[in-house]
Amino acid sequence: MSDSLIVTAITLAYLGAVLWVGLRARGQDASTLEGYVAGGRHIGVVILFFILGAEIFSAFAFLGTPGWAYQHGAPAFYILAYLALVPISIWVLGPRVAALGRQKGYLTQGDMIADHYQSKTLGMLAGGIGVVALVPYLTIQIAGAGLLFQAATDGLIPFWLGALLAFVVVAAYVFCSGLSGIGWTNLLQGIMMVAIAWFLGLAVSERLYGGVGEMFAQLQQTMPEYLTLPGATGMNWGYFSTAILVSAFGGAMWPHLFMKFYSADSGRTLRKVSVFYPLYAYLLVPLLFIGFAGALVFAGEPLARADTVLLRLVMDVADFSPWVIGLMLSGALAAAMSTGANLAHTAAVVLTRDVLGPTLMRQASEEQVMTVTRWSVLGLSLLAYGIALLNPASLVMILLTAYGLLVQLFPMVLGALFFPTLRRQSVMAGAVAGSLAFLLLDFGIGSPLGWHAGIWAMAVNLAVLFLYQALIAKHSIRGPAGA
Amino acid sequence: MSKTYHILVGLHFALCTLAMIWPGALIANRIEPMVLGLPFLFFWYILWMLVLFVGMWVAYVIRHGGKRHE
Repeated sequence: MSDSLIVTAITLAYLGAVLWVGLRARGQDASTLEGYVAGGRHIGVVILFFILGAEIFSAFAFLGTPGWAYQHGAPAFYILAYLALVPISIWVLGPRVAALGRQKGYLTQGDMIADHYQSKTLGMLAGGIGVVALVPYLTIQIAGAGLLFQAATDGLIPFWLGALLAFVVVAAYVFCSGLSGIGWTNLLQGIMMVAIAWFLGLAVSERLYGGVGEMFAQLQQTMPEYLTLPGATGMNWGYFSTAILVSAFGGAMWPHLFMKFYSADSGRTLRKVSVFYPLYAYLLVPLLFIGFAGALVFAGEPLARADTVLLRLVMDVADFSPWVIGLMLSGALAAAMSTGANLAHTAAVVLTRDVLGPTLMRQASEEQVMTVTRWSVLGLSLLAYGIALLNPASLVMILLTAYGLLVQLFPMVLGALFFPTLRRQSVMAGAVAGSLAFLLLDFGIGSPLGWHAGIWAMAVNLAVLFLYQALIAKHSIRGPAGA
Repeated sequence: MSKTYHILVGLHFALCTLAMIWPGALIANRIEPMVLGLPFLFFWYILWMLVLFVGMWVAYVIRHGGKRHE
């Protein structure tokens, strides 16, 4: 019991520190819409690096990465590969998005699409899909925080209370401080995650096997299939490769990533952030060690849920003191909260600006938009908390489906950035065809060759786009849409 | 200069991507030799993350290094 108290006390102290930093970050910026949404477009390299990094490292990364290594073995390198490749999108798209945003006052993806293609409907559609994808994502972070609290404190803090604590802290500083609050807290949370992940990864393999090298030598002896592809569960090369491509390059379509491009103080800053970004992926290396350690430890009696491997190892097997368990809980909460803060902020902005803006709030002043955005942060967080308590089984499915559809916006966004000759009809037809193809493959006939359905859908998307473009070119000599 | 620069950066990105998926990772799909205590395939990913970083750093310095604008 006293152990659980120590764990709880350390974690509450950490939550208090995050709240303090988040509320203090409230500058003058937070009182204008541009300041609240994009940090006044002058966020520098260090803070932007932590914002972009910490939002990718969610509860899923912290618990799921060791889970994958434990369950599948080498296919878990998928996570390293896709995270390392994300900065390519930042490098290519970022500076152009930032420049257009500054020039034309864009704050969301929908802004850019609606303006470039002269279609409010298109912008609303992009925004709508974004919100549908972001809310389940936020729910998963909140539920993750609740589960972590409950497990690490032996039930002293139950699920509903743990989830509530984490969500109240996040909602409070996002509500008050906007993007600056997220920036400064992510700096703290990012350092916390990296330090704790490395400490745990090295300490677990040291305690159980006498070191990382010894652990892998032992794995090679007893279960070599874990160390190479196709891994312990036989994941095929086609799926492995296409899933990396869809996650790495489609990932830039996530509104919470894309919108951060607007917040950079210059294109140069975005380039610099993308240069250092692959280093962030090194955070996951020690988490993979933990998963591999679990593969050996639990070889006899497999865990019911792979993503509990980190908790089980640290709490039951490695026999750490409650201080270490308290720090582990704080680090894992840092992962969940830093992502959750970004998601709540982005979902509120997209809902207000892209979905409500052209409809209910057409006449609204900037001040009203600002107020509605703020309260949407609380409303959407509350909604996500409610969904977390209900815990519907289809949550991950909604998330993955909505993400699959978001990826189909890619050609449309590329068109708005780099290819002004692409017409509205072409990109719309492509996106619709790609989305239908994705839904058909995902829910209907299954994906050919076992590849990721997103790749096939993108092929259909591009084929229809080029077909339309060719047909239109034949029948019209006018300039590009929106020109 | 500008065109060559973009082509080289593009090639670097393509090379790093292909190294991490099929067919690049296929040639590294082995346990021996262990490097830094890691199985070779694991080390392969660590290595290419570093190669990507170094290449982007060089590209950054060439294009944006030195003078500061804005």
